[in-house]
Amino acid sequence: MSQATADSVVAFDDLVMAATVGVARRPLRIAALDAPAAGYAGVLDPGDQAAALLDAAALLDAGRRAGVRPVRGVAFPARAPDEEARELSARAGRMLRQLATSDTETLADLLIAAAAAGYRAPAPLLPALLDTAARSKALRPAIAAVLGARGRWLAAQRAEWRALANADGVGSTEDSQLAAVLPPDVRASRAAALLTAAAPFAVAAGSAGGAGGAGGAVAAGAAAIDDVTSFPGPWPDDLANAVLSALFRTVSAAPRSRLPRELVQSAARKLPVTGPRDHAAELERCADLGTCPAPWSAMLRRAAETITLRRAFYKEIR
Amino acid sequence: MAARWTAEQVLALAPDDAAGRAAAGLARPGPWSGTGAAGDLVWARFAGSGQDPYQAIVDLTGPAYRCSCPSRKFPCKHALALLLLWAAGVVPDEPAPADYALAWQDSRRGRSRSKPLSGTNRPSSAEPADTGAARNQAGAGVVSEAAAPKDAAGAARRAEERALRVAGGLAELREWLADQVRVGLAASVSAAGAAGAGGAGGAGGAGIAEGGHTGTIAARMVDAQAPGVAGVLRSLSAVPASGEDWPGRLLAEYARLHLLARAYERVDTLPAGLAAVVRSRVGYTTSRQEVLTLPAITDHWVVIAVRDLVEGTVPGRRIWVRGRDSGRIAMLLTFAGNGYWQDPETARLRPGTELHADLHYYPGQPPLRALIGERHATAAPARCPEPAGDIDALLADWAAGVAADPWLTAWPALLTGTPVPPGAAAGGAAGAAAAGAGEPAGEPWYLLDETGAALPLAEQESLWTLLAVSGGSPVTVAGEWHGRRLLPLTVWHQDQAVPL
Repeated sequence: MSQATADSVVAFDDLVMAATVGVARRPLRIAALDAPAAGYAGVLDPGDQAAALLDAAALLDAGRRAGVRPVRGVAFPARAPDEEARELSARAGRMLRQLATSDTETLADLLIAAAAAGYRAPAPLLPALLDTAARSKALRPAIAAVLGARGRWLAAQRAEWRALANADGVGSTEDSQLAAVLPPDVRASRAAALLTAAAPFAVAAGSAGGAGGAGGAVAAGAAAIDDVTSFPGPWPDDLANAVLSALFRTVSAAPRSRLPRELVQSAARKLPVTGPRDHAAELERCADLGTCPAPWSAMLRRAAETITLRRAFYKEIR
Repeated sequence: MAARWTAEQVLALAPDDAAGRAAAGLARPGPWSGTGAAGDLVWARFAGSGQDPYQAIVDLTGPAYRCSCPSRKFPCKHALALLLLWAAGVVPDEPAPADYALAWQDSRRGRSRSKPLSGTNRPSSAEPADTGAARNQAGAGVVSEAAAPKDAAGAARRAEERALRVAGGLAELREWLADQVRVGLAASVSAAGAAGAGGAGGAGGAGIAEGGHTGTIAARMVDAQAPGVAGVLRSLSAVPASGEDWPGRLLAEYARLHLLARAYERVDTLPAGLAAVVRSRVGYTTSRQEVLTLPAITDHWVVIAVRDLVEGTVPGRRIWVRGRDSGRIAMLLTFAGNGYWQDPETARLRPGTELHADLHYYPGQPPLRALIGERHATAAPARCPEPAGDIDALLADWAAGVAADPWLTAWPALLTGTPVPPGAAAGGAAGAAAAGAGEPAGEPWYLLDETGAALPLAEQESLWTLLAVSGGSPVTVAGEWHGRRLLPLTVWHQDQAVPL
């Protein structure tokens, strides 16, 4: 760095050096200023070197800020390949964004359904989906299914996402969970019958051990719930009806009964939403029953909300 | 009891996507205790990372929020999560509000009773005179709803007293700035650091330790009623730790303050526009009523960008709008104090909407900050705006802006360009960066226009969203040019405005 002497032209960097050390230790007399402040040396404070330095810095700083030039020589980046799938609406994107932090199971269901219907994720949502996929291995196939050409292009540009650029997605008609071959009607009817027999679900007997009838009823209820919750969605109508009536009877029998959380959560994900029946309204009605304790009604309302959201989403991809 | 809202309505109140996402994650009963709702109040305690749980309260009229967490976002994720729980029906109705919720509501009511409500002017508390970085980037004028002067003579006397106090303070500031340059920036900063580090034993150390090397002089400027200057000084305490070439950045800031003090010495002889800039940078305020008497511009004002200001002492929101017919750009500014937006209707404006209304610019040059006067319609969806110029035009406007207001730090940008992540450009940038010397190491992102001109972008996570929307093709971007970097705030995905 050049030593600023009495006669040299002073630039902003010279002022910085002098100010860093201090003009008390290293005096600086400014005879001429660098362009664009050349010609203004006469307005500097003549009596005080420190003040003159600040005057000069103010002049050069304004010139420097106003005179900023754009960068040249940045090359245009490669473009993302053309898309084949249609982009989901912004409205559908907002639903997915909400689910990404609150309910990843429903998120995965909806992504798979969207991919099966020939849709891809909205571009603004891609970073959030890629982040979610990078964190959660379980969600990766469902997210990969809706990335589209744009999503894979984007994933390839960031180290944390790169593994997703070539990941396989589910969602083609062959391996979609939703399009999985439905078990025979027999199985659905059997599950429905079991559930109807078990509801209302009995409260488990005390720690003394369930002797006799109570223990048997609890065990039968658990088996029926297992059978229903493992049944893939969307549930056929008779099973959906059986689940709703089981929930109603269980709530009506409160507080002598127990509301199985896993059944409610499963209902939120698997009750059909493309048909004419509004299952969300029925769950709301169940939550409004006078006998329904507050924590149960909260659980039921939450499930109703999920169903409403699913219904709205399916409308978007119809 | 107010009608319950939907989760979507609640999330629409989030200051940004991140807050909405965070709130959705907290909206489960686990970490909450003592939840309740009564009348218009919803309250709960949230077990955060600290020792004491946060108290979150929402007043559904307004709505207004209060949370004891340290977040500067407004509303914070706790207030939003509490609302989500309430919307989901998980918050039990109580016969009466919790004591702390009631106390807050009472204090709010007390305040609003003492405020006059008049015809066209929405209720607005005194705007914080002390908005530091918020105003200091934003151009002219800070509103204060000064009570109508009891008598003109008294007002004149008070104005004179203040002018004397400001003049005295700024003279002191000039002396202090010169001392920094005399002693040397390095020695001055490290002396303050040593005094701060030794503060445990020394009686006088604490004040310096708190505000860094500028804490004492900043406090002095508050006393001298020059809050604009105080805000700038406070923000400078972080500069010595801001990486290589901090002396260059600090000297530039000192030089601008020095220029402001010198300009104020002869403010009465400056042209009116420049004088207004100088006064507002010092911290003088122009009342809302006064601004509303200035000529109005009627247009369909398209909201192009919204930026939450979290660095200042009071959270604020800056909203950039552009006239569909006039092409003029204006900036609306509102602050949140005591748990509610002082101008909620302005704070609610979102990119991608437009407002048919009268705007009144504050005095000052270049005209940027404005107030909404009469509204002719409610906000409606807007299409993607058509940028008026390229990067060269933006920089020419910026240069003219700096010439008119040398203290300018943020300039509105509306451009068509392609975002380029580091390493994506085949050639890399060829020298001569706009940023000049003193940028932190590491190649920046750029926005590249069709003429081949590029501007470096401010680092932030949402650049990936910008890239996702662009896909390597030109997109319409709105943001703020800060003299070295462009801060993208909105990108248009067809006609959908995506906040960044």
